[in-house]
Amino acid sequence: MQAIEYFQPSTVSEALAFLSHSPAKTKILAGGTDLVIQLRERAVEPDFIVDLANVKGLRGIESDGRSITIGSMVTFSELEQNPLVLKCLPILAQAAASVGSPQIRNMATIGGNIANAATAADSIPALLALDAKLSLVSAGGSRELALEDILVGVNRTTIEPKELITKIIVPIPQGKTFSSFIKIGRRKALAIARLNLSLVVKMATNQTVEKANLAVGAVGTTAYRVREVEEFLQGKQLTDEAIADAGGKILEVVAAKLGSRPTAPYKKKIAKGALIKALQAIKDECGGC
Amino acid sequence: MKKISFTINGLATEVKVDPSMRLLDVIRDVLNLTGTKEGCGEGECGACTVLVDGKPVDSCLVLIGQVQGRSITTIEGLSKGKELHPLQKAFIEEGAIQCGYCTPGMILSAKALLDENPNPTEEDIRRSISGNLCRCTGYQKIVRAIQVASRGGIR
Repeated sequence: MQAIEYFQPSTVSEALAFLSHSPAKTKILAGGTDLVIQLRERAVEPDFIVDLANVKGLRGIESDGRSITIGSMVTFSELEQNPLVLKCLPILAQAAASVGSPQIRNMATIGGNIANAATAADSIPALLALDAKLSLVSAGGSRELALEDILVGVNRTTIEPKELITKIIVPIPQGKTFSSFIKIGRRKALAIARLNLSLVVKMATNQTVEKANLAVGAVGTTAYRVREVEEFLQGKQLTDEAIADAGGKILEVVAAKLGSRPTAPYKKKIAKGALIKALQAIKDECGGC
Repeated sequence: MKKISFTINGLATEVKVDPSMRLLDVIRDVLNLTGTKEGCGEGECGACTVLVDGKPVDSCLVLIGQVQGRSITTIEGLSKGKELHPLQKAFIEEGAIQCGYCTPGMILSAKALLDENPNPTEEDIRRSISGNLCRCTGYQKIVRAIQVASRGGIR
C-alpha cells in the first residue's frame, strides 16, 4: 500500500481542521470495512487518512422522547443490540442485524454506510422510511438535511469532501405505527442485498392507512422512497385487494427504474413479492386493519 | 512510520509501522504470529478473525492505526502454556478440523460468543460463526464442538 499520512484526531474540531487542509486528497476512515478494500484495490488513493476511531462525540445513541440521535461512528452491532433502537425503531435494528457478518458489524458504522452510499447499503432504506435526517459539519459551519436529499448516485452523495456526518436523527414513529423490513440476498450472512425493503405504516383510528413510508434499495442507482405506492396506500384499508394492487404498483416503479437491465425481470418480481409480504405482516400484526 | 501501541494476547506491545498497514499484516509479518490466516482479503471468509476488545473482527479490514490502545487476542493467546483452551480441545475431540485453515478464526468467533453467552442455543452458535467459512466440514462438527465446549468441555 502507498505511504499515506494518517491522522487520528480526538475531537470533531480537530478532525475538521485536518479535513479542511486538503479535502479532495483526504479519505475519512470510519469502520474501514469498505475503505480498506478500496485502498488495497487502489480504487481510492488518498494522500491523507483521517481516522475517526478515537473521536469523542461521534458515538452513543440518545433519545429525547421525540427522536433518536445516533452518532455516526455507532457500529451495526451496537445498533442491532441497542434497547432504544429495538423498541422504537425495530426496522433499523433488523437492517443493522442483516449487514455482512458479526465481524463486519463490529467495525462497520452507520455513518460510513451512508457516506459510502452503496446501492445495496442495508441501513439506508430503513433510515429513508423512518424520515432520517443527517447532521453535517465542516470547519465553516453545519447543516441538517434529509438523508433522501444527499443520495444522488452509485456511491455518490452531495456531502462535500470537507464535511463530516456527526449524527443521524431519526424521529420516533408516533401513534399506531407498524413497520416491516425485508432483505433478499443469495444467503443469510455476508449477502449483498438483491433487494432491501423498509415499510412504515401509520394507521388511522378508522382502520385505514393514515401514512405509509416505503423505501427500497438495490433496485436502482440509489435507494429511494416509492411515493407512487405511498400515495396509493393512503386512506385505504389493508384488504387483500389493496395489498395486491400495491404490489402491482411497485412492480411498475421498479421496472421503470431498471429499464432493460438484465436483473429487471427478477427484481421487479421480488419487489412485488416483498411488498405484499411486508403489507401482509403489518396487516397480521395490527389485526383487524 | 508511526509508533502504535496496543496489547496483544495480554502483552503490552509497541510497533513502529506505517499506520495504514492492515492489522492482519502486522500480526503475521511484524509480530510473526502466523496462526492468524489470510483467506479472501475482503471480509467474506473470516479466516483472519481476531478479537479486538473481545469482539471478533476481520483483521484484513482493519488498519493497524485503528487498534491504537486496544486489546487484541489471536489464536496464540488461547492456550495456557501447553494446556489448550477448552474450545481447542473440543474442536480436536469432535473432529471439527479438516484442513484447519478456518479453525483459528472459527475458534475466536466461538470464544467471543461463549464469553458473552455461556449457554448459547444452536441458532446462537450458527449466527456467531456466520462470518466464518469452512469448505471442509459442513459445519455440523464445528457446531457440536462449540456446544461441547459450552457444556464445560469434553464429554
